[in-house]
Amino acid sequence: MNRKEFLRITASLGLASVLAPSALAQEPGPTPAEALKLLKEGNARYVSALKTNGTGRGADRRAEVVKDQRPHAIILSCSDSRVAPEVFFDSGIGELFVVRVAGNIVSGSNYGIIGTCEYGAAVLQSPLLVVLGHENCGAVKAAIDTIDRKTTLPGSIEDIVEAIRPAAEASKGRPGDALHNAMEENVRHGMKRLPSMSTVLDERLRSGKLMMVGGIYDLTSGQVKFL
Amino acid sequence: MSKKLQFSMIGLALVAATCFGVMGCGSSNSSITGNASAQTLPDKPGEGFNQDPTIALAALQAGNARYVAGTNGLLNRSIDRPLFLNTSQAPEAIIVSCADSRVAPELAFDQPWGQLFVVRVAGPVTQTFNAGSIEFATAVLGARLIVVLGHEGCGAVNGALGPALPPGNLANLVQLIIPAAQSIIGQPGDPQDNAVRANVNLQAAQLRNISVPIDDGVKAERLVIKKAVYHLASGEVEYLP
Repeated sequence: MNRKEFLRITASLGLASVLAPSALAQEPGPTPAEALKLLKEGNARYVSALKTNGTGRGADRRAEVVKDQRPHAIILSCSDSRVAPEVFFDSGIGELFVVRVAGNIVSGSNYGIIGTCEYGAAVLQSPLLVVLGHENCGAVKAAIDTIDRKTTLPGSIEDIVEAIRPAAEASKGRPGDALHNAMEENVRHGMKRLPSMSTVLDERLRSGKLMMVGGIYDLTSGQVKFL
Repeated sequence: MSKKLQFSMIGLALVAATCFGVMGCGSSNSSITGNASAQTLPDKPGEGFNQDPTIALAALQAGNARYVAGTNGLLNRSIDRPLFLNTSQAPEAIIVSCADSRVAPELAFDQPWGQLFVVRVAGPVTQTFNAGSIEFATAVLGARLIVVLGHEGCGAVNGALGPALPPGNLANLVQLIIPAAQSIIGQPGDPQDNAVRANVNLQAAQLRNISVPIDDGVKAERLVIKKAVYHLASGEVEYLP
């Protein structure tokens, strides 16, 4: 009997609410290294085919995870419509716990982002956290422009720009493409900020239960380069 | 859409694009292309884009119907990435949804790559980061439809119903949902389901409360906010009144 059949039978007995979540939660999860390998393999499939497999996206898979989720990675990436992690990691339902915000920012005042990462790591026991930037990021570009022009932006956008500003300033004057440099620095800043602003994440990183990696998604090749 | 409104939209987007210096401004080309039928099956990236909220909503509903029926697959299609890069992004909708691994908007709405500007956070709770992301997507990219999407079995909402707060930043996050959890006390029905719905209403209202550009956009009927709940088993997106 496989797990799916087991869940179906327990559901038919009216035991699903008791047994199904624990059955899923008690399954040993992947190690951080195994989780990273899964992402790399998924991205390689995507890059070679320039499309996603589309497996694990139907009613069967929905039924499998309806009581509980066990995502193998937390992805903090950008809201950009071209940067959908499920696409370029070729993932199905229930595999990736995904936090998305313009410029994949980490800022103390926006604790919702950090708290969500904590939920993925502590409650769902995800072993891997990826801070993922991407080339041609409009939010990073906006931050560079406001620094160059010494201006501020109206509304809440300013909060996003403000979170990116230290990375844009730190990378200013470096050789190479300014937008790429600021974007990569923004990923590294995010990776420094997450443990410094979250005891929950810091402890899990120190104990080895969680691994954090940075990544950059290239819009043209579809490739994710891990830092 | 009236000509005057169309011009004012393009004007706003141009002002914003100049202000941000960001590549690409979706509204000037997308407002003249596409129709509901072309929307559902675009052959090429950029084709069939339409940021009219009514048409965009119809596209989301058609895509979700495909997902529920098991005939989804637009996301699987190969796409001409360089062509898409040249056209830049002009997403038809902004989806504010939960980080939950079972609630991926690109899958649930079966929309091709590049159509959905997606903000995801547990809840989804409203703070300046998602308000700012939405302001960016509306002013710079021309999107006009915002869907605030909660879901059945939301862990963050359940946290707000629980007896104790979790530790860390998560506690502060859950605090943002507690007014919704308190508002459903004494209501008939399932508390978790009621709280999910109350929370979607609360967070959608909060977007307008904390963001003048979003509130102004809704008042001027340039932006439309829809509230919805995703059902985990059926995959259905149910729109709330």
